[in-house]
Amino acid sequence: MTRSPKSHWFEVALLLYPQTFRARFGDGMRAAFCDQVATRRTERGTVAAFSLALRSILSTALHGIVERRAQWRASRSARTRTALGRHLRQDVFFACRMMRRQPAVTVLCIASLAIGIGASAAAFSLVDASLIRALPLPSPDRLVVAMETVKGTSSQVSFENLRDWQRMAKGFDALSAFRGQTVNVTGLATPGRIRGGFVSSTFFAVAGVTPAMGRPLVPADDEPGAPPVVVINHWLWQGLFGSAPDILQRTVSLNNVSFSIVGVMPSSFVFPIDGADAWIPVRFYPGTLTRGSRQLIGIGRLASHTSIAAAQSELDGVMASLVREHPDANKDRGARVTSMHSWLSSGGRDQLRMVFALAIVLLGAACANVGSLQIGATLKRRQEIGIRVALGAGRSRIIRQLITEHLLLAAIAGAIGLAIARVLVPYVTASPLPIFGLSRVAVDARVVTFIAGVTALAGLLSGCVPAFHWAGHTPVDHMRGANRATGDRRLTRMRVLLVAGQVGMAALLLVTTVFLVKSAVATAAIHPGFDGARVQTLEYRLPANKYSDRRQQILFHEAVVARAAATPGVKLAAVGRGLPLSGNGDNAGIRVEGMSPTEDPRPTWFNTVSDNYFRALGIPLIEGRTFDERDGPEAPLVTVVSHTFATRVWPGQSAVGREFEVAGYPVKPRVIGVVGDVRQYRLVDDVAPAFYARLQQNPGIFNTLIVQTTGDPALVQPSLRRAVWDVDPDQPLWKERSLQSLVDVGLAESRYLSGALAILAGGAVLLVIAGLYGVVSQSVAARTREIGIRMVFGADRGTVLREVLRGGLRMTVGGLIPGLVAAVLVSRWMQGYVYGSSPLDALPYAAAAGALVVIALAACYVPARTATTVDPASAIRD
Amino acid sequence: MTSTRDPRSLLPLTPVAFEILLTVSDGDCHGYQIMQAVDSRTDGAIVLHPGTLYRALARLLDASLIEELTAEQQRPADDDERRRYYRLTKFGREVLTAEAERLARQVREARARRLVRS
Repeated sequence: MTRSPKSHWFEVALLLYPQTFRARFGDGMRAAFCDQVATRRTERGTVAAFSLALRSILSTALHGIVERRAQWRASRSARTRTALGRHLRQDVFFACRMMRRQPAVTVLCIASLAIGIGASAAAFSLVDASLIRALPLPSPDRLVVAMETVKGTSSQVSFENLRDWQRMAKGFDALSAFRGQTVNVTGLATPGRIRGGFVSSTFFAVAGVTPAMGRPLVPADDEPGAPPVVVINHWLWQGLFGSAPDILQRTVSLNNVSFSIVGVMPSSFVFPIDGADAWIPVRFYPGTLTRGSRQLIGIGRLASHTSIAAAQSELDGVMASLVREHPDANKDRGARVTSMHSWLSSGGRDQLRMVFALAIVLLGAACANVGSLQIGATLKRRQEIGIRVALGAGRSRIIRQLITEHLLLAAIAGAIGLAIARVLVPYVTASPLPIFGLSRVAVDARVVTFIAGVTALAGLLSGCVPAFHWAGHTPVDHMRGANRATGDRRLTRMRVLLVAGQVGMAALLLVTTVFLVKSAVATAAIHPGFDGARVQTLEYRLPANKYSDRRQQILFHEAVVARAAATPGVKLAAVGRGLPLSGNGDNAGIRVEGMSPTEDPRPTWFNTVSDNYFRALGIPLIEGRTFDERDGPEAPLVTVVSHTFATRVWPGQSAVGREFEVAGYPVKPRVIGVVGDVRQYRLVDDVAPAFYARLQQNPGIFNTLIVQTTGDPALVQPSLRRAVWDVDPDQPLWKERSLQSLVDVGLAESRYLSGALAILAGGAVLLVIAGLYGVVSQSVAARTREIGIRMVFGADRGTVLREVLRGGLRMTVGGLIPGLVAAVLVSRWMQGYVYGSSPLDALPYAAAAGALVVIALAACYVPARTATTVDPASAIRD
Repeated sequence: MTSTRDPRSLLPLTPVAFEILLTVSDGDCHGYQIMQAVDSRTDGAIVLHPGTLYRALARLLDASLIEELTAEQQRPADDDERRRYYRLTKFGREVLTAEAERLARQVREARARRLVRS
């Protein structure tokens, strides 16, 4: 076939295709082109054929360019992938070989990073569960807590005010009252106690969850006189009712009232505030329904697109109008809207942040340690790196190699850190601190992701210092410096800085630990004002509709005390409404002589007790007498006051025979005695004034049975239960515990924090030892020749020893100073939960500094001794 | 080649690829036959030049939707030896069917909205 000029042009267009494509399809394309043009010529003539040929050549040329570009791209990415894979394999293989060649440095590096990663991951698991992860409810960012305020201080909410908020505030999809309170469950084999949630019917709209079976509470259930109904949780349905399929036809007796069960919540539903077993209309909570009674938490779901600030400003307006409408009940009152998550996690938040921040400091110290050890190790590798550069390894290749080594180290450390975090998590979840979300703490995917991130960061941070340093040198630099004794001056300076940084971070951790240990010791030394040894207790609440009469209540409590006192092993029995450190107790406003009529009554702690209460708890009588038979229900009202009460109200005078006014009581009680002070709420609180009423003159439905035993308190527990059930077999009991256990809980908080910090500080001290030892011994090894020469010229062993120790000490002091300054700042932040210390208390600083200097000297001593054993002759010869 | 690949993984096909597969589904064709068939079927809406056609054929061959016939396989005795003949593979037929069904579904939807005159 002869070629036309057009086919020549087509040949040129074909040249634009990659050779492989041409070889594969060139013939076919030529044939198609010729056929196409020939047919057109036959059908429409030469001009049409020429036009088609031009378009065809142009199109073919364009496709040729596109095809060449596509093939070039494909081959480049394949080439890059292959090269990258090969380099990575080489890097990893080489890194493993380097690690084997210097096992001590490798183990130290991995251990350091593992400690830092493990501790920070455990701290992160806690911070994540409490402060970061959203609440397990739909649209959790719209959940809020709305509280009242009185003169700016947060207070609980009045039911009537809350109803007005519901009516007037438009920025909420739903607003509900909530009150968590345990309730008696009777009519079962053993009377029991469950967690009740007293709520408005709008509660389920706030939570955004509907029952799995039956219905939620509805507005009709809130109306007075409506039949009592309850919604129970999945676990109560399973546990108490054995997953009964006819559960919605059942009733349950709560606080002696029969409730129809109308709904069962899904198993996944956990309301984050006071997780309840049953949701009961709030009108069944005694004394909540008046405007003056404030016992509720307001919970709400914001309307979409309503911000907390907008809801706050709306409630401000609503509350201002309620103050005008009800000036007596709402005097000085306001409202405060807070995100529910932030409200829940406010307890222990500062402590959590501190522990997390200090765990990150430990991780920083670990990275500094690895960085300093690796600088020392790579100083020895000058020659090797030099040869590699001379043989053509590029700058990026060297950087990648060194960073791969560090990433590999960090990856191994990350795996061990994960195991350490798993070991630490049970300790973390045993926290006695009031931390929200402890049950959510786990080493889960989020923690593993955190570990992966931290590991990569630690690897990069610790690896980039030597990597960029070496990459900046020429092969000649490397080769020339290979045998130089002291290595690169700049690198050595950086290593010293890193070790000093470690010392600083360890100083910070040690000072905070000493503060907390000191606080724990001071807390343990606090005398609570009572003797908790050999005291056993239990709590009970009488059903108000069964024991409505004061006389019935007195008879019940007296009968229980009498039966408990007659129990073998019991020395003394009593009841008291507010057992110390139990969280129970009342406050009453008092007015004493000399107070102006416009002055508000002073809130004072108030307890109602039976006759043997003071003796059973070992509270000493200081003046006068305690209660006895003379102070019967009809006798003149009497009171016993605490020592602080007496000395504050009547300083320098006898309190006995004095009277004072109690808000809400028409009769003034007369003081018959003064007893010792008791730490009522928390061991670390200041002693507060208190006064006591006799049970028979101020009975009630709630009480704690208290017995002093002759032997082990736990042994009398079954007899105590019988003592109550002998009086009323349907009476539920709970919180059966020894008084000592409450003291222990009070101590546990400070012990826990100091323990957590001690672990971090211990880790930091280990790192400092490893860091100083490593750096000093590497420096001694590098200076062998210099030391040898000096010994030849007369330096004795003592001089060499002192000089090496001095070098280590200089690094320590250099790090100590900034570390102690940082500790001053941190200790100011810790003041809220450190007992018995001020931020400028010298002891923690002195102790931390002293300990670090001793540790530094000990860590430097071994390499210093090695330096003194250098044989001058062989050192010079080598 | 029978493949365990899901034919739907290659959808949607380009209009050119669909037209080529449709053409070779009638029987073995060489390049110019395909160009002619597509031109006449689409009333000139899709005009294939050799560059367009062979780049598309290369992709279809790589994806095993068509295969090239070897010299020993049947071809006319007086044929231009430069011509290459192509045949639809089993997998190619599955892909073509899946694409046709996909297009049919689209047309049904369009028809339901009275966008296509029946």
